[in-house]
Amino acid sequence: MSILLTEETTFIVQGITGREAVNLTRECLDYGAKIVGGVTPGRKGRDVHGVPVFDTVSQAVENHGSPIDGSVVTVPPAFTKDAVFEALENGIKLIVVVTERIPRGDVAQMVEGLAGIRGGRIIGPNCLGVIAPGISKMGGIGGPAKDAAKAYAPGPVGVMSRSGGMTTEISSSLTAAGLGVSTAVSIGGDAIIGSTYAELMPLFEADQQTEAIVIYTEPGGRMEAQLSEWVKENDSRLPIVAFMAGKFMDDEEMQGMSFGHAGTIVEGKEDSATEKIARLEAAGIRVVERIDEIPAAVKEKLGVAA
Amino acid sequence: MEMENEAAGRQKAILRDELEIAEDDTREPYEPSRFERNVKAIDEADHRGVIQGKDHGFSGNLGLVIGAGGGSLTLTDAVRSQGGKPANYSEIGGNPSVAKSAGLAREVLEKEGVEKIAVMMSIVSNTRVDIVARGVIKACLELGKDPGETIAIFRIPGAWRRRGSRSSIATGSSYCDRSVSLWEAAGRAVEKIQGANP
Repeated sequence: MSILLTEETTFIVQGITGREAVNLTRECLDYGAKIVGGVTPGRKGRDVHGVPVFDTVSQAVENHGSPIDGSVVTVPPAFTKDAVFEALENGIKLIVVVTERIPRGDVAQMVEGLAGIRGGRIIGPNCLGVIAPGISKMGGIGGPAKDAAKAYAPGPVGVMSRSGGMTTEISSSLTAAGLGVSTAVSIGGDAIIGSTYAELMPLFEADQQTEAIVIYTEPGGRMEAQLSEWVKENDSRLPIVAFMAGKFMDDEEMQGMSFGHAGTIVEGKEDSATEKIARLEAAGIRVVERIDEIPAAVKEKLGVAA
Repeated sequence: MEMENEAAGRQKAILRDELEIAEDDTREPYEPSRFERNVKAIDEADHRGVIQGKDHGFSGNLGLVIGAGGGSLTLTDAVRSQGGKPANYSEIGGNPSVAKSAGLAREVLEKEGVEKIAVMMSIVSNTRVDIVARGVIKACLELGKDPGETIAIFRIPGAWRRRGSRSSIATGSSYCDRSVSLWEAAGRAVEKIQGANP
C-alpha cells in the first residue's frame, strides 16, 4: 500500500498549458498516473500529451463522468486560491499546490477555510508533489519517469520533506541502500502549508507498508514542535529519523534572514535549528548530523543489518 | 507593521499612502551587498530559472554555486562542518539559461578572497545540470581562470547528467554523480581548497 495515492487515483492538472505543467504532465503519464483532464481557461478543445484541456474544473469532471480524486495546481500565485476553491467545489479531495510565492493570507483561506469545510486535503504550496513508488505520482517529484524510477524503489520508509529536491535526494539514498520508499511527500517550503508532518503521520501509521519515517527539516516555523508533540501523545509504531539542514542559520548575524524556502527564517529562539533538534530528540526522534547517515540510522531502527 | 513580499503587489495603496513606501522601493532588513544586488539584477533580467545569492555573514575562500534551496542549506552546513569557509550562500534552479548560470558564477568568482568554486547540485527534477555546468565554465573562461584549477568539484546528478559530465571532464574539473553523497562532495571541495593552501 501507500498513502494518498493508489493505482486508481485520477487527477487533473490546473494550468496544464504552462511550460512546467506540460513537462510534469508528460512525466506523470510516463510514470503511469491517471491524468483525466487539464484546465486552462480559454483553451478548451486542445490537448496536452493526449490529455484533454477544459476551461473549467466542472467541465473536466463532467467529461470524466465520475468524481475526480485529485488536482495538481500550477497556476500563477494570484490565481491559485481561486483554482483551489474551484477544485474543492467540484468534489476534488486531494490537491497538490505546486505554485510558490502565494500570499500567506490566500494560503490560510485555502488551508484553514474551504479545504476544512469540504473535507479536502492540500499538499503544498511550494512543493513538488507526492510519489508512491511503482504506483503513481502527482507532480514533478522525481522528474522524468526513468529518473523517478531510479531514485524511488518501493520499500518500507515514508518520507516527508520541506524541500522538493531533498525529497528525491533522501529517497535516492534509501533506494541505493536497499531500503526503498512507501510514499514520499514533498510537503512544501512555505510558512503555512496544507499538510504538516504531524497531519500526515496518522496516514503513514495506518499504512501497512510503512515501517519507518524519514523527515527532512529546516529552521523556521512550528512544524517540528507539532510533530514532537504528536509523537509524545500518540503511541506511534513508527520510528522516525530526522535530518536538519541550515544549522549555519543559528549564527547571530543570520537572525531574521530568509534562506532557501519562504518559511526558512529564524525569527526567534524556537525557530532555530538547535532548538528544533532538541525538541525532536526529546520526543525520541533520531536526528542525524550528516545527510548520508540517514539509511544506516533507518536500518538500525528497523533492526536490519547495515 | 510587517508585510511579506508575496502580498506587496496587492497592497500598493497601503504601502504608498499610509507607509509612504514607493513602488520601486527595494528596502531590505539590511543593506544588501554588491554581490547580493548584482545577483538579484541578473536574476531579474531573465525570466528563465531562479538564482539567489547572499553573502551577509560569509567571508571565506570557497565560492558556492548550489542547486535547490534544501540542497543549499544542506551543503553550506556540510562545507562548514568539514572545516571549509564558504564565501557565499547561493541557489540555482528552475532551469536557468547558460547566461544566468554564468552570471551567478561570475559574481561568486569575483568576490574578494574567493579562490575556488564548488558547483554542487542535488537530484533536482527539472534543472538541466549540463547548462549550469556550461555557465560556470563560461564564467571561468571569461575571467581568464582555468576551469580545471578553479572548479573544486562538480556534483551534477540530475537531469542531463551525461552532457554535464562531459563538459566538466573536458575541462579537467573533478566530477561526481549521485553515488557521492552531498556530505562527501562538500568534503572533497574542502580538501581541494585546503590542499591548495596547506
